[in-house]
Amino acid sequence: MSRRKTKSIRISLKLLFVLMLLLFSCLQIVYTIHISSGGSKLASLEEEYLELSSKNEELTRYIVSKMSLNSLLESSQNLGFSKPSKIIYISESDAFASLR
Amino acid sequence: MSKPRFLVILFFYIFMFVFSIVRLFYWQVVKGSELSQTASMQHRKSSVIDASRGEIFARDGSWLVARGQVWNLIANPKKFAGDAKDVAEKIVEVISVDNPRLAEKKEKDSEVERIRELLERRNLYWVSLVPRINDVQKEAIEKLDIEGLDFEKEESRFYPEGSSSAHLLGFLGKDESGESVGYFGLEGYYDEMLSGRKGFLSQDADARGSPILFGGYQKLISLDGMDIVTTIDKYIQLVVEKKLNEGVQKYGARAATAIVANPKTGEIYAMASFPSFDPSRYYLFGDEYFINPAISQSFEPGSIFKVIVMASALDAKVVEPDTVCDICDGPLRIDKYFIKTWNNKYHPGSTMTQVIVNSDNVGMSFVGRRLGAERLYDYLQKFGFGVTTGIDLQGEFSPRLRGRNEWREIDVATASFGQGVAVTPIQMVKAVSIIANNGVSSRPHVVKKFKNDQWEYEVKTGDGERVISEKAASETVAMMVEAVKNGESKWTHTRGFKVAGKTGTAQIPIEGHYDEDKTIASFIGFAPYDDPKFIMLVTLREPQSSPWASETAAPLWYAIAKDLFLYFGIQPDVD
Repeated sequence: MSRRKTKSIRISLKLLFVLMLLLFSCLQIVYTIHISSGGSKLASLEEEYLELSSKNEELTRYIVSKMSLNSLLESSQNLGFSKPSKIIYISESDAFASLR
Repeated sequence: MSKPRFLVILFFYIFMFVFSIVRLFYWQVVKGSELSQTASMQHRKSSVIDASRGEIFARDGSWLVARGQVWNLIANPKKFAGDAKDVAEKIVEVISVDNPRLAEKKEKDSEVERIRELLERRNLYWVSLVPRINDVQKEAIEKLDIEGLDFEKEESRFYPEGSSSAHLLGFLGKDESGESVGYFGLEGYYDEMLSGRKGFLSQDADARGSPILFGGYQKLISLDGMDIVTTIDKYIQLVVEKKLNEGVQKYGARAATAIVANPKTGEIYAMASFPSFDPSRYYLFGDEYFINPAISQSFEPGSIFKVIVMASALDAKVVEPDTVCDICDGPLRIDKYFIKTWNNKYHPGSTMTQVIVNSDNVGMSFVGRRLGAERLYDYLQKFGFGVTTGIDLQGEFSPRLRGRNEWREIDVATASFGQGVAVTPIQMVKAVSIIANNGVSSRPHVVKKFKNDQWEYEVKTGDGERVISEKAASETVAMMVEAVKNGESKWTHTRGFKVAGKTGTAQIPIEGHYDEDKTIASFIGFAPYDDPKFIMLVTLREPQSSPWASETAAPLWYAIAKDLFLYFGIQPDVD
């Protein structure tokens, strides 16, 4: 009886060992796939970052060109604005209409 | 099985086992490190991380220089299968638009031939076809859909105000190794600060080039360049450039320079010179255009220098404003030379104020004689002549001041009215600023602060040094006020505005003598004289319409100043 029991325990241990080995092998495979897909995701995120960065720079350049004083002067002239040709300085003692 | 057969098989197995061990030892131990290195090279991806160059801003925070991008058109001749000449012609058609270097047919044909020859180098994997093309050109070439062509992005500079402030800014060029380097102006002076520092990344990657997580990883982070906020006022800069160009056309000058600054702090509001260049296309201009005349070119200042010598004499108490010149009744003879007035008119019994108002060379020789060679030299040094001002622009030069023991009597006399002595425009502005600022000096500078995303640093110029007494400064200012009201340029003076200034018409020395016809006409002044908001120097080289500063530089100064009065809120004097 005890011999049979010992034999069955041995078989269970062997089976457990084999099952554990299989489990770790599967985990290793899953882990490796996960790592490699992670690397691929990282690469695509980096590419997306570069693309967004480039678009950001393009928008900044657009803002910079629109904020240019030369282009503002040109736009104002096109809209009919012009610099005053005569400046009159009035002092407080002069008579002029004012809203008080 | 018989015993001999068994032994043979056993021996065979032992032999194979030992052989395997030996081979394993060879590959794992002897060749181990070499193979490991080869494997590492295969899956190790290394790259340089570029650092963005810092931007340059005007004092109000708007851009003077921004980051831009250009593209280098490259080709892989091994992959290229099309007709090289046909493709070259299409590329040249795109890049020749608005390109003065490819305006002529001969130049276009030569460029087509060059590109064709590069495309036909079938043994190469990479050739550079056309550098620095813009986004529009890139898009047009992409539409041609030619296999084997590609683009490499390169950071460049974008100038929203076009060629404005070219001498101040400098430009971004390349060194011998092809690296970007700043030249001249701010780009040159602060090149290291603007460049930042490149980084480096080395990591394990798979066959497709994707990084392997938890693999080898080494990174040196890049540091972007610092941004610069300048003291430049964009509005003043544009006004000065516009009016200077108009003045050059009107007076037929060969060249011109103008500087506007704050005499109390030394901040440069504007600095412009003609002829100039386009910093975005610097490669189309010769080297002579890049030199900034305001800081690098010397000239004999003429009568604008008189205020410096007079201020020195007043400070040394060798003259007073009402000291009478007892030699002003006619030309002054020194050795074999005769000192004459500019208009051959003499004013016997002139006071020192009248000497400045009349711009009397004989009167100034009297002042120089009273001051003496050694004291004149000492004061000129204190006013900053003979050394660079320390302005933060690349390329500043200072002409040599005659040594302390090298002054003859004639040298003292001529220097007292601004001939026989050489200065740069920025030295003149710095020196007259001392008079405007109650006798205290300030260092001219263009940068207000440095900044990046995390911090900013304000440039401190420190307290100025007292060069002359407040009394001497105010007496000189009073003389300059009289000079604009009643001197040779009185007809240009805008009534009511509190301006202190001086004209100067200097002859140009050529091969040991002075040219009879060619002059440098200048006007230097500041306003309002009791609390100056700005100081401005305008210099015209060889004006053709008239040689006299009172008819050229002075009216140009006032034409610019009219806008500055409004801009600074300077009201005319009620009285």
